[in-house]
Amino acid sequence: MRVYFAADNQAEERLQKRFSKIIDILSNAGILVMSNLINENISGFSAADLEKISQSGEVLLERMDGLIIEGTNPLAESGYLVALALAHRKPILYLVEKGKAINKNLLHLRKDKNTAKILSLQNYGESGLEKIILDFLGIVEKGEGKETPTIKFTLRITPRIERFLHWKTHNTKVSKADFLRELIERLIDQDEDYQRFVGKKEGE
Amino acid sequence: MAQKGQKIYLMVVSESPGMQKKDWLSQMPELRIIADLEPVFIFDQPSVNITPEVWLKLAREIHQRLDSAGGFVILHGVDNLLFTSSALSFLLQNLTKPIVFTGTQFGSLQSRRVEMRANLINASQTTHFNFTEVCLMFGNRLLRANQARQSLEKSLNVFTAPLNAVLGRIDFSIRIFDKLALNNKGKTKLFDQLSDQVEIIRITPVLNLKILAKRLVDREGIIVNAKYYQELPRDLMFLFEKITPDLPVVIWTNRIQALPIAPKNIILINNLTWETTVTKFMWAVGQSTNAQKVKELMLKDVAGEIIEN
Repeated sequence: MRVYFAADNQAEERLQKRFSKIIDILSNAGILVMSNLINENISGFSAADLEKISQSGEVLLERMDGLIIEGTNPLAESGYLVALALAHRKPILYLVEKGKAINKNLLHLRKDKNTAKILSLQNYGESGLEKIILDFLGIVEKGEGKETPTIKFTLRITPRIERFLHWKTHNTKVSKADFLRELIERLIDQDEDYQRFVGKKEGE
Repeated sequence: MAQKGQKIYLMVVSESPGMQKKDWLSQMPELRIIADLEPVFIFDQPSVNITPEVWLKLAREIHQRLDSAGGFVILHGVDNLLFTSSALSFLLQNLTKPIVFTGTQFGSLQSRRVEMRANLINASQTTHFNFTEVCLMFGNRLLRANQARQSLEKSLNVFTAPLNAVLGRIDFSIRIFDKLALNNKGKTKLFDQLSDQVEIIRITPVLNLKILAKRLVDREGIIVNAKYYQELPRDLMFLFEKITPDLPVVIWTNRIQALPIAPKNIILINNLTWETTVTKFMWAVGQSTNAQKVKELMLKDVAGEIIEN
């Protein structure tokens, strides 16, 4: 699992120590940490992988599983990083020392229920820091915020369809249900009429 | 560079997939944490329908907002984007604010939405940096618009450009290469005229010179696309010398380095992209129809468009 950690690299020594502690907590939990505070980031990507990512046009944040920002000192790029992580539906933990206010624009973002699922804004004290981070890693691991199928649906199929599904998914890691779900997702994406219908409903 | 209190204008120059015009920004609340964005709707059809009139409208709308703007983000479909962005670099000269084009490619609606959000966020963030030219922000690169070409690879980097025209890259943060990016001071000049009386000819064995000569009667200039040719047809050169001696004629080529015996009205261009050649010529002919004057303008570096070989 990879996490990007950003904080003010000009902060006073007291905070710098705190940042090191955050990196230690993450590393001890087996997380590959990339950060603006580390000179030589260990991403787990080979040079060839990094070149491939660069050529594909992806931004490295897209390859992270989560984003952590220590925002006690305002960080010029924090808004940008949060926005980009939200666009890619990456879980975000935004940490601010107890007693310091959290940016009101970020608080405002939490009003959106989809955003609230993946944006966690936390005031922390020295003692509770590790628990907050580990709880967040649990959320990242479970993929919370991502849409999970919860509605049960009974579907009767013919032997022909059954045979096809078995042939299609045999010796793959994809289950028959996952295969069908993905197929329906693709149909939803490709159906411009439906997208217009949904767009209208959302716009009302 | 956007100062505190300055707006970033989001100029919408083509339809945007799945977005409702009335609550455009409320569908992307995360954009608000980057900049004070104000949308301006210029054109609401697919970008394939864009004409030079839209370029002029866009240039005027930008020019009248320059004082209150920190920068401009232009949302544009991929079709015709290189024409619009190149044209803008000639219509607004000595630019003092960043203008960043972005958009999405084809794909599923869901993937286009994510791509557009990410590109818009990157483009909006880019306007906070200190550079003053027309650029493209797609994928993870910021490119000088009038040196960019469509990429042949299947990539989020929809466009590509020579190394000297790659003005910035994104890994986790945006890095602008200050030494390469233009940084103008002073006053931006709006050019409000483009000639649309330009004939574009592609050399092929079936080019009929008699029909062509008739078409050239009302023209103010000619562009010949001779991209892969090593020589030019003798009869065509004769036509330019004898029938249209006063018309400026651009020969756009990749392979011809010089034309030792060429009529005076011929302008050999081998260091501009096709889109830049067309739009620069339309701008130059809009300033003067004198072939010599047009030649001077075409050979001059006006907006960082000349590609160094």
